[in-house]
Amino acid sequence: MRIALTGNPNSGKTTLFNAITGKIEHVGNWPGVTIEKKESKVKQSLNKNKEDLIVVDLPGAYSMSPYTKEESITRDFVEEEHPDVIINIVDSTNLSRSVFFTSQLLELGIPVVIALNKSDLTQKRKIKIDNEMLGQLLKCPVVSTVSTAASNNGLSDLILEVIRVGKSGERQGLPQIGIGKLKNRKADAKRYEFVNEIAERVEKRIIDSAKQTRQDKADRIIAHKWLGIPIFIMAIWLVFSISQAWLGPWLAGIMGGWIDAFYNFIAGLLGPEVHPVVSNLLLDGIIGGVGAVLGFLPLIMLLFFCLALLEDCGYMARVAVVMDRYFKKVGLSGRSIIPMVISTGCAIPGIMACRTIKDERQRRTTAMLTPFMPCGAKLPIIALFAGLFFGDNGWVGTSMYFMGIIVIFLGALIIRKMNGDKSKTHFIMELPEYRIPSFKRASLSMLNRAKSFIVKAGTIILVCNAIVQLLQTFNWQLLVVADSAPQTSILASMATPLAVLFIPLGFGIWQFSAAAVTGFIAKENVIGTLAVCFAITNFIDVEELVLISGAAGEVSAVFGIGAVAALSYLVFNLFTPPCFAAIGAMRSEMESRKWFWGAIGFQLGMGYTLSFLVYQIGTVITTGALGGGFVGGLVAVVLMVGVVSYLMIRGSRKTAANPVKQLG
Amino acid sequence: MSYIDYIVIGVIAAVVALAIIKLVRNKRKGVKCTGCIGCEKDCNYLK
Repeated sequence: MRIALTGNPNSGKTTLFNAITGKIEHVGNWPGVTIEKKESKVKQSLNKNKEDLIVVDLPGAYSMSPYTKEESITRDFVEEEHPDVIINIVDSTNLSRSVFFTSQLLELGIPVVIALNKSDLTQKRKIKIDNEMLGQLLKCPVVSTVSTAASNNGLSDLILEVIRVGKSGERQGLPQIGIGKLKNRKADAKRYEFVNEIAERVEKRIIDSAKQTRQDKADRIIAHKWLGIPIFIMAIWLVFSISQAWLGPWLAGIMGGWIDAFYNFIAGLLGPEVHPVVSNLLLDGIIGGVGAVLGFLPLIMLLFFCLALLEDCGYMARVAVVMDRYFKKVGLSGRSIIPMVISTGCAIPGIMACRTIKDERQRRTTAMLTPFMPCGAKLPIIALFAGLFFGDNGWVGTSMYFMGIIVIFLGALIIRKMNGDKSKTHFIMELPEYRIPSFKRASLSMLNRAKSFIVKAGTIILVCNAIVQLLQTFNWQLLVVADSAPQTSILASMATPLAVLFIPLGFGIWQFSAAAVTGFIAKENVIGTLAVCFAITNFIDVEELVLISGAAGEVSAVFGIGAVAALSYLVFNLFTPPCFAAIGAMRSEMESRKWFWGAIGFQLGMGYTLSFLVYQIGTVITTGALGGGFVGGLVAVVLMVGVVSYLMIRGSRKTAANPVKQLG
Repeated sequence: MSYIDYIVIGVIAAVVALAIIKLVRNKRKGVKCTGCIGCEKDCNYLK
């Protein structure tokens, strides 16, 4: 029996799906988390007779007339694949809005069971719903559920009812809506009348809904147009400080100690008898490279734990509202914030989440700009440079996060001008309830991300580091490179021509250009490659680096760059195109070659220009003189800015000539 | 090169081969990415 889970966005479908299947799919305390359908069997404790019950979790939809791409998935599945039973999850705190969709589902002729979800909240808010009368009016069974509760959650009753309805084969009667032959708006108006009548008859609210609740009062501050911004900055600063300055480095130190111990254990096992090329490949290439990346695991886990808490308590949805007014000015909307927040985990689901945006230009622009948010893979790079050059300062991560937002803002403005689009955007979002964040959900989210990080380190990072080590060990004649002449290696000879391009950015060193290139395969490779190239296993322990350098307190002596060039390198890695996988996601979501290649060019230009500005301005401020390669860099930047300006002017002229909305 | 060297080379080759097999298997499953850290179980990579 195939059971479809349908309902409005943020009605708790995925939470209910997880509760009845035992899965741990990602849930979020805001609408639009699910963008694709997911299937699983009902868990055994709820299916004691071992029936063949497959549940399909579908993206949220407000109606059967799809507004966004993911709503089409829901409609297409229900209409074309004809599930045996539909569980319609109705948010019991918002009955009148939810029943509109229910009334459409009932007309499909597929048996429907209503799960009146969040019924714990209705009790709290003193809302009384007459389940029996609701069932009679809609002519389908109604079961109260609390999908977040571990027991007494109504899920057993729900599954029993689904089995009964599915097996009975009886056709459910249609509710008396009275649409008849009415179509479009008139039909919708009639349906709304029906829905409102139902709400009036079955729902009793003891508390006046016009009265301000504590949540409303909190939102007046947290989602305030001016106060919202400093609150957001403080929240992110706190997250970065906990994960990368206070608790994170301490935990990473312990982890680094374990990796060092493992490294020394293997080194001891190998002993001096093993050929240095072979032992270096295993110790420095594989264990050292992978270990350097894994050393940042505690920092990343903590960061995602904190972000999951922020999301779960309902705060991130408020951020979308706060940012909406600013994003509107550049042709985006608060809806673009959701993919961007998701991108702090990984750019790929962030880019995929852009399909919730209906407007084509907005969707493509968001997919193009979303990778500018520092993703989880970029966090080790931030942590590395913040730790080595800026004393683990939480402001480094925070400033990179907000620099990402500013770059997105600037990028959206430029793209809007290029596109010649002056259309206004509208954003309506249902704010979820504030709630005490669940440590269990945050821990699960953190552990899942940690597992994926370890899998990635053990696969793509490991292979890349082994290749980098081999390329660094041999020259083109396949002879082992002497320790005194590392610049003769295959890796160095491939990376050196590229390094010339980076002289104006302050890191015209072959090791850094090699790391930047491997970073396109996976951003964590930047750390792995630097670890292999500089033969450093533990980036967390700054004291160890100082010992390597031999110059007290001078980490820069190891890398050959100063703090300004390190910041420039960080900016370059964060604001150039993302990894190839994310580029692939961008390509499929944009559905346009012109937009795709434009995006790649834009991201390359943005990264190079920002990095150039950071290095040259920073060098002027710190030394009073311009950095190396200024003229060459300036020419490149002026050329890029010139091309962008020309396209912007052309876009404006196009708009002036044809004021109708232009879409690429 | 001693026999110990060959054993170590064998171990390295096995580790790298395992990593490549995992990557190839994921590609065959239709996984587009190299295993990001944001999708959690929405991503086919861990399935």
